[in-house]
Amino acid sequence: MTQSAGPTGPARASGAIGVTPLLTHEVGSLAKPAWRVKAVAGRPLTDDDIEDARRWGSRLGVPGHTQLLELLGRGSLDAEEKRQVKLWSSRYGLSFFESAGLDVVYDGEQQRVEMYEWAVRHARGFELRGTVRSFDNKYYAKAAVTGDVALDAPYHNEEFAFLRDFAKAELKIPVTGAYTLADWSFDEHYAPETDLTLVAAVRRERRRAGRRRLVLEVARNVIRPNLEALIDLGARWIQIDEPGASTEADELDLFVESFNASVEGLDGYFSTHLCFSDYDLFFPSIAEMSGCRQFCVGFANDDTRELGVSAEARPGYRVLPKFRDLPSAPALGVGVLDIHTDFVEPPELVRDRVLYAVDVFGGPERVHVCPDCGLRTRSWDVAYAKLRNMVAGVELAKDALGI
Amino acid sequence: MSIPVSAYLHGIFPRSDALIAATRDLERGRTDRAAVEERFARDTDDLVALQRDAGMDLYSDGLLSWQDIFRPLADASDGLEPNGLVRWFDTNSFYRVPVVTGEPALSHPDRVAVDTIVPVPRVATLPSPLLFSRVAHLAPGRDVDRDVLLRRLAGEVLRPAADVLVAGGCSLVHLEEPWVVTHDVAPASWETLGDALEAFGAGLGARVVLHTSFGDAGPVIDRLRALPVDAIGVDLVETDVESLGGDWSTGLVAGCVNGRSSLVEAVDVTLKVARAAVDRARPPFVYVSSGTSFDLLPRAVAIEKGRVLGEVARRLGEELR
Repeated sequence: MTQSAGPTGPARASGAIGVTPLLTHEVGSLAKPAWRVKAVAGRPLTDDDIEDARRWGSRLGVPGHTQLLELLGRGSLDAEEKRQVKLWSSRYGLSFFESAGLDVVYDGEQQRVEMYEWAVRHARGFELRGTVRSFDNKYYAKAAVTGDVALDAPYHNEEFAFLRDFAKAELKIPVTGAYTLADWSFDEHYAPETDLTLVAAVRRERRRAGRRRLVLEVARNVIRPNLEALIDLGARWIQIDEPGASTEADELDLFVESFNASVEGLDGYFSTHLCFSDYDLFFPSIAEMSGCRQFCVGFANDDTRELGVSAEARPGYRVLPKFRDLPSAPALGVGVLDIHTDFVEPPELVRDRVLYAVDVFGGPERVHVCPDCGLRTRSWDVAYAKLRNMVAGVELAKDALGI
Repeated sequence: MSIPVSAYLHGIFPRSDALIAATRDLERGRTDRAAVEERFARDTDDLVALQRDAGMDLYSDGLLSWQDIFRPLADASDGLEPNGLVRWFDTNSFYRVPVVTGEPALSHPDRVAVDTIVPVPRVATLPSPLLFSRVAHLAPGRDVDRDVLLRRLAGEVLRPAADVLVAGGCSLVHLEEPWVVTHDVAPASWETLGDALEAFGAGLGARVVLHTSFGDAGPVIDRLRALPVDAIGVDLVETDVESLGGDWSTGLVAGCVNGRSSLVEAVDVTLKVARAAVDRARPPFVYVSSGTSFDLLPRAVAIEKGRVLGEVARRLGEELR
């Protein structure tokens, strides 16, 4: 049996989005299983790889996963069979989050190479230049902008159309945002800088003008058409990922402008994901993002592991009041899982982080709960344990709040 | 007047794709430590060959095993622990923030030793004590004045590390100092930095460079020139040559190649920039290097830029002989 995307999903959610108090969701990426990586790369699978597929298929209750095992057992796979393996990986990812008990899910970006590379490979005007370190031993492929940027074809439609057929929970599609795509790229086109004999102030001004043009053209010519295509397919919640948003402290207004240019006038529930930043930098600029219904922000990375619901016990969450006071009263996706460590946060720690956020916000209505970021650097065992504890911690918080 | 010109690479050099894959495989249990070490050695060999072919005067080991500029120091010291990720200035690269948990002191100096594959004379790179003291976080309950921390890190972590490096053949210690050109620094802290650098360099047996990057050195150039180091480095991507002032009594590190751009500079234009900086500053000696270290570039681009640096230094040396 092959798996194909149908025109309508059997379980497409309806009703208002994001209004559930203490709604839980994932953020984006999940590690790709070894069987998926090796099969697609044409490398031989070990018995352990196939056992891993069997174990998780059974544990997550992925319907029909024995077909995957049969596929993996064939050895050499043709292009269509490799495509099928990727689709199975998406189904596993979807089931992973649903089985962990999350309210809002996706597939862990199993179809994509990586959040940045996937986008630039499907857009015009970018050329990959090589790998660059992000942190520790983690690297990403970095591109240079070499021409006017534009969309080749909407690059999330296929995965979304596939997932909506299988999803039981609400789907949230992660889309890498314009500012991040521009910021993570070298600029060899809009304001190439090769002549240091020019006065530095002149070069800085050219650089600034070039970046502005680049960021806004990515927003208008790459991101927005993608969003329009997804909405046409029935997408409701789209998360604009902007981990690079605070890179340049004096460009927060440009980030905001690019978000607005991407979503303004479109009919969807738009959120944005920010992580590993000095969040104070975002204020007051992000008050202008009235189209952003939820900010999803990583905090646990900078918090202690001690229990407690006081400000002293929760130093990683000191900026919460600023999000609370945003004029458009968006929800806040509160990051409660540090995605850079195998430490599995106990439910009680999650509970206390949630209760502290609820206390700051004066109620649970605008508080959502999520990991700090995508979990792709963790093993599935660790990621699953973290998510299960996150859901359990939210239940403890609900008990404490009487909801 | 003849002005000696030398060239070197500073900071962390990018790893090859093969080494990146090896470290990733090690983390995922797909290879062993010995295979990764072999890959490190091959990358180091390649980097040495690049420097030799480019005509560098001092050899760097590229800090290939360092994940960031603070991590090995935090790992090798009591009273410091690496923790969460923090953005490295305005880049998409992150470091593990060193957290002060006690009285910092280097306790495992072998962990910062230079790779002996690298020929002499060698250049070592360390973070400046001011930078180190400002990026560090304080563990809950610890309340330490930043200038006190600066002195402590300079004296008990960085100097012992530099001693190990100099004993290992390093004749130049390059201190990365982006903080002073990207943040306001109080006059008292400049004085503390000066005192700490004086103590750091005393009896070290190697030249000390304080190199600024990521920002315009012009507004603080007089402060920088007054510091007790052998040479001051400026990032000429951000700093106007005119703002350097003249008649330098210290050496100049001309950061004339852009470590943040994928475009490889033309030798002629870069030579013109370096020459203009020298003509303006009239320093007693010049090092030609990059504005920022090359770890923000893909390795292939960094290699090309390294060749440009070597050629620029060679031609500048001819012009100034």
